[in-house]
Amino acid sequence: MFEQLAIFTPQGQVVYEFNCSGKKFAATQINAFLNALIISPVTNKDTINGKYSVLNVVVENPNTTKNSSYGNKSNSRSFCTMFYVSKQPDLYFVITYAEQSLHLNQEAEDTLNLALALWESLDIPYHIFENIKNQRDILYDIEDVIDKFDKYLRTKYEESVKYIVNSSTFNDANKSNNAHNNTTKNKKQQQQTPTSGGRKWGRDGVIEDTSVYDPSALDFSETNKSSNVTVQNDEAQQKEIIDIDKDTFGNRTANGEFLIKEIDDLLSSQKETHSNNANKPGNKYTEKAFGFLQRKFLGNKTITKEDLLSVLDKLRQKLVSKNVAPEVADYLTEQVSRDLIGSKTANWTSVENTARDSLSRTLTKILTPGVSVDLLHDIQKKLSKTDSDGKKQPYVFSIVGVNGVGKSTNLSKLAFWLLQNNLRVLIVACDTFRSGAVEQLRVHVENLAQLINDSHVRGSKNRRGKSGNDYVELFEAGYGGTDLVTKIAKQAIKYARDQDFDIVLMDTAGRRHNDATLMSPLKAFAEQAKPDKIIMVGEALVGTDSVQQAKNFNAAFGKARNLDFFIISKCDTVGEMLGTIVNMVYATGIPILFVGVGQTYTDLRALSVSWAVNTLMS
Amino acid sequence: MYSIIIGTVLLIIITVLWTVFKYLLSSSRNQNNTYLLGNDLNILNNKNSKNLINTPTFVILGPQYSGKTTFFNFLTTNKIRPFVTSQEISISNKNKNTNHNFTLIEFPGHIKLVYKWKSWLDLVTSNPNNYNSNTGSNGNNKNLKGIIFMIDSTRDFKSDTSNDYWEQVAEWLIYILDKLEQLSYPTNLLIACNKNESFISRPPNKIKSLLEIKIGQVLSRKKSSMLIYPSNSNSYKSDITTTTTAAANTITNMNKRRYINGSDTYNEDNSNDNPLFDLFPDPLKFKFDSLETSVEVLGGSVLKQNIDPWKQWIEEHQ
Repeated sequence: MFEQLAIFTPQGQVVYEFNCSGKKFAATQINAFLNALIISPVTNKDTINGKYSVLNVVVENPNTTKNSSYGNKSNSRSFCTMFYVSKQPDLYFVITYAEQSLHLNQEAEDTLNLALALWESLDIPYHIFENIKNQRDILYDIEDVIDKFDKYLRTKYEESVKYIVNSSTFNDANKSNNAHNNTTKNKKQQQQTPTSGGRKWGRDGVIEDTSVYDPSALDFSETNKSSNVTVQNDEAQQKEIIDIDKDTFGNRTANGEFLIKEIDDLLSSQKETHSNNANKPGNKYTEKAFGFLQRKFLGNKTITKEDLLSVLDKLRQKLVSKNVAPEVADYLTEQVSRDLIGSKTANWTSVENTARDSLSRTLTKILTPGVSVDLLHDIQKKLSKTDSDGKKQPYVFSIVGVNGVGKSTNLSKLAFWLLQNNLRVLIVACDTFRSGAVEQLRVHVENLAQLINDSHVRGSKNRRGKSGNDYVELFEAGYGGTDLVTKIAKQAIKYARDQDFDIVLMDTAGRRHNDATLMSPLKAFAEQAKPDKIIMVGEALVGTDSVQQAKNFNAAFGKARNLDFFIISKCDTVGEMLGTIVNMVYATGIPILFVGVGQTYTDLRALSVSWAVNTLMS
Repeated sequence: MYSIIIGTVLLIIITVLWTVFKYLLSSSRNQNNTYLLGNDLNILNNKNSKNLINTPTFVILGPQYSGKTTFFNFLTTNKIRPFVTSQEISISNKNKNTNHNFTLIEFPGHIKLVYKWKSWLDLVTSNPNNYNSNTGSNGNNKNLKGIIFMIDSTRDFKSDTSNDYWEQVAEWLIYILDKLEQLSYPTNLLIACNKNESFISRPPNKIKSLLEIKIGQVLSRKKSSMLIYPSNSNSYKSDITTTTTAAANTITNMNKRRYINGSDTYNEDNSNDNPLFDLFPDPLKFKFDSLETSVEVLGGSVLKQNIDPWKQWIEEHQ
């Protein structure tokens, strides 16, 4: 049994609601679904039969912060939703149910089919559309129709689904159904009479046919006939029942039976009109003649699939030329066509311009982060809390990425920015693999120390005997295997806490994203070090592979942990080909925090979405 | 020969006339049609300035779950209905609940959809000096009468999650006020504290002082983190050219930047975008009353239909 069915507009107006268990309609569940829908990366949605989309929603308990819910999902309740978005008017048909199972999926699909069919056959879309057009209240004059829809849907749903699930209880409740039930039961029994015949193989391998079943069991025509007869009988019986004694047999079920007939008639008539419409020849030469003018100059044209084909192809090529992965470009153009088909262009606007606008809106929507990205606020919040010893826990970043994308460089840029904000930074050399990695970080620390304090002498040790000065310091423990990495990380955090550092920045070894042996230590590392933010550095140069990189790195931390941010480096080297930015966000739904635009410590920029979109569209 | 030419000319004329006729017909029929079809095409990317606010307009903004859509619907249809999270903008010219005629626009509050009102606000308040040929409109046409920023007054001030909520509210208010302060004509901001029927709801004056503190904190934090410009700022280009210099060079350069000019250089770059920084040299002393925009904080409840203070505010300011 599903939980809720809701129909609502994108503006948030609930047109119809139905709680299956008879409880009050819970808008919070739908809100949770919408949250997930808006935030979730596009790749997370399954589609069923190409019509309905399925989305799993996990509701996190708002009282648990991200850190405490780490690896502990008991607080969260998840459910599954299947939804369909209709166009003209835009309406969301959403059905929620407990979990994704074959049975429930099927039921949800059936119910959605039913709801859609009823919805259309009652002509509700037309009414709503008229209301929107005339700027009336969207529910103006259609409350009656919706009541009717409600009644029909409930009856039909009870009949089709509940009936099977708990038919026994229904039998007790509805006596007048008994006659009908009995016949069907008989029918079932007839079909289920044991036909346990079969074949036996003798020792010599010859088949001995031992079947003794009645060949009439295979003759379905007989049963069909009889079922026809029973249906007819049934109707006759019902009429009789109602004619003879309405009161004793309960009005409701009799009504219900009638309703179902009425609904079926309605649905079948709808089908007929549909097929009629399909057969109608679309012979509109005048439309064709002016279509061209409208498409190019005048505007005010209803956009069809044909109009969009060439335009979308052009846009797609442009996106691909800007380094957007073909997969992503396909998705984007599909979004545009979904957005535009059936809508009208504005006056004096060509189809191409409308499509471009739509595309830039889609891009903006993808790139806009779904969470607040005020890093300094987060840091201050954590630092303002002290534990029992009066010490504060440092805020831990760890930086991951493929080899050579600029992890260390961007880490030091980040460190410089944090130092500017009067935070004390401990840089930890967790890359114990590549020769020179520690020395490289030492150079960065020396540079940063010199920037903060002019009198710093390069190569000198601070009062704790480490590289750097009071504000920035390097934590190193030489080179070694994977276990050394987690050991260093833990030691570093403890050291930072004791020495009153605000920030711990961990540099990790670069690894190939498609090598499982290199990626698997990441999970253990994240579990042990528990970084507040895991940042992945991706380079703008990489192109199509960025989709896989982002996906694999995001998956490497297990189910309970995701990446928090991206830094896209080397943006100054690609000019307008910023496709990587879109690819990475498309693949994971994780926001980009900074872009690297050069080699000095100040060349780190917060991503401006409008800048990125304009560059991609230019 | 001539007949062919005349024939073609005639044909062309007839075609043009027919299109004009059709266009006139359809435009009269569909004027408001595209406007409300559910996609925000004409609001966000407006090509003809005509459709951008040309009547007195009020805007409802605010975070998620504060009751914006319910309020919008109550003003326009006089009915209270259940709502779910909005994903699109709602617009209406007809207001059943108030006698006067104005356009009411309501934007979704989900953090991922905030760009919708931000870009709209940018467009509407854009300076006439940098006339935007792309959008074809200078929005400074005095029709933006006021912004209603709706918040949920039942959020407490202490717990962690609510702290985030108020930070968010403060940040958005800064964005709005930055824009409003740049306008050449005075505009009005109403901070509507919804849900005051609940016993845990905070009184408006408490919320006002809390917001002043929060805004001060966020402003001072922004001031200190000025170093990170948005990637589209003008300094981006000039920086690229300097990156080619040797590392040692750049370090001394940066030393200069840091120690000779101090961090003020960064503020100067951005002062045009943030008039609030000029107004409050010490951001922690932020006060709504010292702004040019008139800010009012009023309580009310949409669910209990107690919206008279807000209605009155709208009537006063249109």
